[in-house]
Amino acid sequence: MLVFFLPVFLLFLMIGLPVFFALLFAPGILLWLNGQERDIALLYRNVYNGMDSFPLMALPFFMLAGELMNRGGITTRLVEFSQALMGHLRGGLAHVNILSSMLFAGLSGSAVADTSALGSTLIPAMEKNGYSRRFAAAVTAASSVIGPYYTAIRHHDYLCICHGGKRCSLVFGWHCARCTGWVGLDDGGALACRPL
Amino acid sequence: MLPILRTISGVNSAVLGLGRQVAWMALGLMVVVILLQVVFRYVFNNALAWPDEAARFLMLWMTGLIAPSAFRWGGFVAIDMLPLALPRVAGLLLTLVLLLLSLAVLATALQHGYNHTMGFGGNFDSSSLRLPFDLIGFESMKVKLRYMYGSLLLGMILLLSVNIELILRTAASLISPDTNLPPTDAPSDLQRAD
Repeated sequence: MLVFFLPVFLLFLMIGLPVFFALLFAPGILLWLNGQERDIALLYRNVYNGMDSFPLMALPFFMLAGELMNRGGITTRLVEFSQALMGHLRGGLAHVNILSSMLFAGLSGSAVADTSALGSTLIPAMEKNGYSRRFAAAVTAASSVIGPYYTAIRHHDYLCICHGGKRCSLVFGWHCARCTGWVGLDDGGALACRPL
Repeated sequence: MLPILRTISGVNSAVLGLGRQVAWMALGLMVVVILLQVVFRYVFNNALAWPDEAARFLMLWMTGLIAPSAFRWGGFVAIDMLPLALPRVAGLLLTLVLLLLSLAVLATALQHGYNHTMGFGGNFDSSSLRLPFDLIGFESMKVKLRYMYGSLLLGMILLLSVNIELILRTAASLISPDTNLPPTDAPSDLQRAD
């Protein structure tokens, strides 16, 4: 019966059930069909034990850190620095977005903090400069993933893996920039560098 | 149906608004407690026993109080391509089915949550968290695990209430598309853009 968990979970996920409910409903219904109703109590305990975790506190703190950086002006300065470096290129603001994400990765290391801090500044700025909202959101979402790449491996004790993580994030950022150049050519043609 | 929806929506707006106020205070306290532990551990080289557990306690309550607001504003992570791609009536019917599945999950979780919180497990004491009544001349008292488990139980109750409201909203939209639904208090940047 356990083998059906993943297909059932994915099915409910694909039809639009929120992940939280799908994670409980899929095993719950399988346990019920298998006559193991008493084991459903274990699911609830796992929800509680999963939440009662000290490392999980990093999530709200990362988001808080992102918001503090945003309100405190660090984000704007990072963006201005990236603008000075990359702004002259075709698709300047999109490249600025990616470089800012790479710099922000060294500060927070969280994709969520990166998206919330940089997205709130850069997406409206990109929209104002003629980029489509879809393109701006896609570039922000794709480049914010650099954060976890960079720090997850940076925190590791081994130096070679540390360097590997940095290289990995740099390569990822470079490919983001290349893809932005290719895909962005069709994005309304508003790719010239303009001041924020 | 609309008077019931307006009543539930009004109650939810008031209770969830209060929950959000408590949640941000809990977040602020978490920051204070963690900073206190950092100072004691790295400056005084004498780590305290209780801040880690106190911070977890506050995070659990913050989660339990803020999650229902997130659910009400459509903030739960989901792949909503299919309900949005379908025609209006079919999409609303699918949303209604999904909300009914969520209702089944929440009702079961509420039953187990009550047993977990009020049962044998909830009667244990926390390992390090205690109420410092000794500061005012009485004996200090250990906090029961029940007060931690209660965060998720309250969260489930509020989620259930929000779920019922969302079911009524969807049903009202299905019956009459021009129905004037009560507001959800969602911040402007969380409302659907397109």
